[in-house]
Amino acid sequence: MEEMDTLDDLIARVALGDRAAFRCVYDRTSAKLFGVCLRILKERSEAEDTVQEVYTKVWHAAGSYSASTASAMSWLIAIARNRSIDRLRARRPEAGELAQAEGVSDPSPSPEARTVRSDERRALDKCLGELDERHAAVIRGAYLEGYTYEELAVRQSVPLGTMKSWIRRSLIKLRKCLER
Amino acid sequence: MTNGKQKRDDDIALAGEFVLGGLTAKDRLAVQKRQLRDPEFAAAIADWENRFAPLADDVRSQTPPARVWAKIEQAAFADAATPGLWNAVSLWRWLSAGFAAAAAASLVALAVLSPPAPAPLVASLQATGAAPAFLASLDPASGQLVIRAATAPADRERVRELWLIPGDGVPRSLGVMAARGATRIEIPASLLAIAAADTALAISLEPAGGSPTGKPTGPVIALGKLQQI
Repeated sequence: MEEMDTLDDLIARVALGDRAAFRCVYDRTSAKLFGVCLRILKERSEAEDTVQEVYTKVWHAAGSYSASTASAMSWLIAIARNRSIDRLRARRPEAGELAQAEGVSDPSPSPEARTVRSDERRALDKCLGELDERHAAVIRGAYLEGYTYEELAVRQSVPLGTMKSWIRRSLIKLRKCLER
Repeated sequence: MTNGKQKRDDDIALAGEFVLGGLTAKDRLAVQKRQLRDPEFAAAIADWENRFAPLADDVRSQTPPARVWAKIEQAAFADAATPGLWNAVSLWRWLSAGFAAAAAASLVALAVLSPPAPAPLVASLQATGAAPAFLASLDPASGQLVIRAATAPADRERVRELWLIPGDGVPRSLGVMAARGATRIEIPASLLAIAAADTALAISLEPAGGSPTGKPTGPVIALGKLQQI
């Protein structure tokens, strides 16, 4: 498969049952998606199972991906995060315990990420920068670590209701900023 | 704040909360159900997914162990024996997503290739990768299909096989294309009957002599829909 094929092209071929294209999608994206699952689940064997589910779903659902609504990578990341968070919530139905594996968390961007900042990322960083610093940290923590509101509230030592209102207001502000 | 705007803000916030992942399992399920039946809400979720995705730059990539791919192959290809892989629904969704424009753009070139009345059907087969596109025209009266490729195949080991894919999503072979120039194919009456406008044409790479199984086995290199001029 040629290097220059875009991820969009490859996913279009996966929709037609092209196995070579599927393998190519896997080779290009599995390290990132495994990283995403691992970051949320903090447990290797569970992250492996989740990645397996993610790609099985990609194989079957590639036809529902439409390039007009999402970038291919956003679509893949969304599937990986959704599966991971569903699993996390199933594992801990009564949220409230703090995540045990603080050591796994990786708050600073990798060197690779620091050098390649997409326009989308710059726009998001700018708008996160307009939020209260603690609110921005909460948004990032929720997205990257899959924390529940309860966990976020405990971490920030604020009541649950306050946390919910922080997030809600931050999202509405973010949206307005991103639409500008 | 008007009620409409309040509701819109509520929906945007709820979609964002879902994407962030902070909701409980019960609330997540409610959102996922609504996502299926409310396209506007689903679009709000997709929008947040796009907006937040760049944050994943901060996640360290980690190559999964080889056993993961082995299990994926097992799970994904378990049903590979059936033609369901060329799933009609997914094919049609995908085809309708962005191909009308490409097909329209090539109509001028196609009119020259097309035989005169009755209303010929044409297809521009958009390349799925870096490969060049193909142009096809079909005269429904004679059943003669002409397909032309811009270049000779890059891959000398394999041949290009043309497939007709009607609404049932099951590909029917139309034969192997000539290595260069135009290929003329007489479509049998049984297939001609289902080769209406909106039927798809696809080209896959196959071993010499064509697919050994009667179904596409190699990568799909181009795809397009027959359209009325």
